[in-house]
Amino acid sequence: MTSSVFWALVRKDLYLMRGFMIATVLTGVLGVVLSAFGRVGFAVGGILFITADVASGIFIAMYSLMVERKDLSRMFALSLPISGYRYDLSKLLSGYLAYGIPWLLMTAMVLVHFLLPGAPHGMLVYALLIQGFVFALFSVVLASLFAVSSEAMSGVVILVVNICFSLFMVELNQPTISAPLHGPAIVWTPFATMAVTGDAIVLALSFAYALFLTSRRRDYI
Amino acid sequence: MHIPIQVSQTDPRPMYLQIKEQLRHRIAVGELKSGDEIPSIRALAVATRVSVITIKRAYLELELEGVILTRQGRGSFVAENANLGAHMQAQELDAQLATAVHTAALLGIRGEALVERLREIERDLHENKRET
Amino acid sequence: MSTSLSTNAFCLQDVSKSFSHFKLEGLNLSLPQGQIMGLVGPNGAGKSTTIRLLMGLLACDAGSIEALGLRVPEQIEAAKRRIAFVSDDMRLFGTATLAWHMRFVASIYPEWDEVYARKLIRRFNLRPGQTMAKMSRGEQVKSMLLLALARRPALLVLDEPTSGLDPVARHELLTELMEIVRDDTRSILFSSHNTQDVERICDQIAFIDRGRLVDSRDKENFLERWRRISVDVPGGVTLPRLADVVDLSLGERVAVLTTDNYLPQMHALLEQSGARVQEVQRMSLEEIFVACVMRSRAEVQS
Repeated sequence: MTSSVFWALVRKDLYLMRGFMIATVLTGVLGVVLSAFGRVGFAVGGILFITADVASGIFIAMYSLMVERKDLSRMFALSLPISGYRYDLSKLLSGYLAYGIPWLLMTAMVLVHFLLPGAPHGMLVYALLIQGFVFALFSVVLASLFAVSSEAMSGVVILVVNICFSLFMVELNQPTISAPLHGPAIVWTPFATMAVTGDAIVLALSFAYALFLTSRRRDYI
Repeated sequence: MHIPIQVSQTDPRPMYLQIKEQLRHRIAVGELKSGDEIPSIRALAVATRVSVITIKRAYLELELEGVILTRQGRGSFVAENANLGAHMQAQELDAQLATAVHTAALLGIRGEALVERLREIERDLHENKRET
Repeated sequence: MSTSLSTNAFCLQDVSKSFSHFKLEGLNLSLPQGQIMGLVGPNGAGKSTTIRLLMGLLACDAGSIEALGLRVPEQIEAAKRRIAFVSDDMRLFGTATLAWHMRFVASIYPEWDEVYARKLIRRFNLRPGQTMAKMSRGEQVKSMLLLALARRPALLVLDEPTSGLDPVARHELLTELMEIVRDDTRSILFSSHNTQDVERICDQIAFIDRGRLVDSRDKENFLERWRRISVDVPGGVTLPRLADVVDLSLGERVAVLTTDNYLPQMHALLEQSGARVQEVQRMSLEEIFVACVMRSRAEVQS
């Protein structure tokens, strides 16, 4: 019985965030399409794609957590027959889903794009590394917004996210690391292994931290 | 069974008293006859938008005064007493006169002076009625 | 020993909650089912805190809380299935319409009464196709009340329900609130600054001030016990010290006593001393409330 309220809230969140989700996927599609048009197209398309990746993460995390808090529609949600704990969990899940579903679509898109005959298949790994990183980053953003309740702090979070991502891109684009990834064959490098393992650990830790926070909470207002 | 009872919060009399008096009045003028059913406590509470506890108090006092009867599970009814109307009207009148006598006493008006004043008022009311 | 039987709408026993700037202490409050309780108190007294504790939104530091016979917060999900809660600082989802909210709530509560909901839309003058963000504050409040009423709750909890409502809407709301207790298994708790409404429809009244329950009893009891007595005090007469005099206002020739336990014997006691009772006035709930709070604050200080 109560699980139906839980899923109703998750569905409600996805419904309310459908705009963001659709916009993200469409921007990603646009990015992929543009990347076929020469060097400039590739660069612009790439930027669009990555922007969609990162920005959507921030928007979704912020929207699902902060807006409802500020909006006080949180109080209404908490008046439903669901415990505060399960309410928090529904927020966590809907956050991951609202980001994860477009992310999956975008990842699939970009993989297909680089698997097409004539495309540099090595970029597949490059793209995968970026996708892996942004998902882990999103997980950290979501968890930290769970912990933090002021708007000022969330501004700090956005700043940190942008810095982290920029640093990652700098690292990824170093010639020694990125060279094999631009080639025609799929090359799995040690850097790739390290990056993906790191992503998985960060994802697990941030998710666990968010779960830990929700289990400790006693006051929901 | 529609009994138009209105309770006013700007009336100086307490709400339970207004209800008692209006019910008494309905019985006195014959709108409610002996044995007639009156609304349940909760039904009257909803109709008058007054708390259940107030209606309960009014019904309790009316029952103690022999005006109504409540049968467990069957509802509330006007008590069987053929002379209830006249009897209650007389009671009401006495109560109001007693208040007037008391007030007059505070002002030092007693005895013949009181009676004269009463006559004056009766005359005034009569004249006002003819004018309107 | 728990005093809550299955016939209590709710029961708070020795409940305490501390914040950095405010403390709610030793709260004992309960309501038999089928009744309406009014919670009255100045701003910051602890009314909202009490309600939030009851709804499981806050965890108490001490004491026990039960709603509809179920333990809060352990069984709060089951309890909330039959409790509806509307607060003046609550909002609905801004980008969704009233119709969406109605479908959402109806899908969660099996007791949802669509016919009644439609009736309330007409009574409250609402447009289901409008989004919450586009509605005025009053319309939003009415929407929340509609969603709460149409699910036919066993316990309705309202925190300042009439703030933001025009007089017509308030009238409609009071009518609907009374309709609820036509059923003697359904109950209402509401906090309000509107002492007139509280005085009219509440069976039980609780006064809260500065984190403490100042007084709690049935309404008729309050209204019967409190009186203002105007007394003529001729020269040379000293008024006797009466018990239960909450306030005494002494002029040169006239005194006004406020008592919380009026007995006809007081007349005799006063007149014996040579004073003359001029008038005995009943007090409105608002006057009683103010007098209660003043007394409570004086007591706490001493």
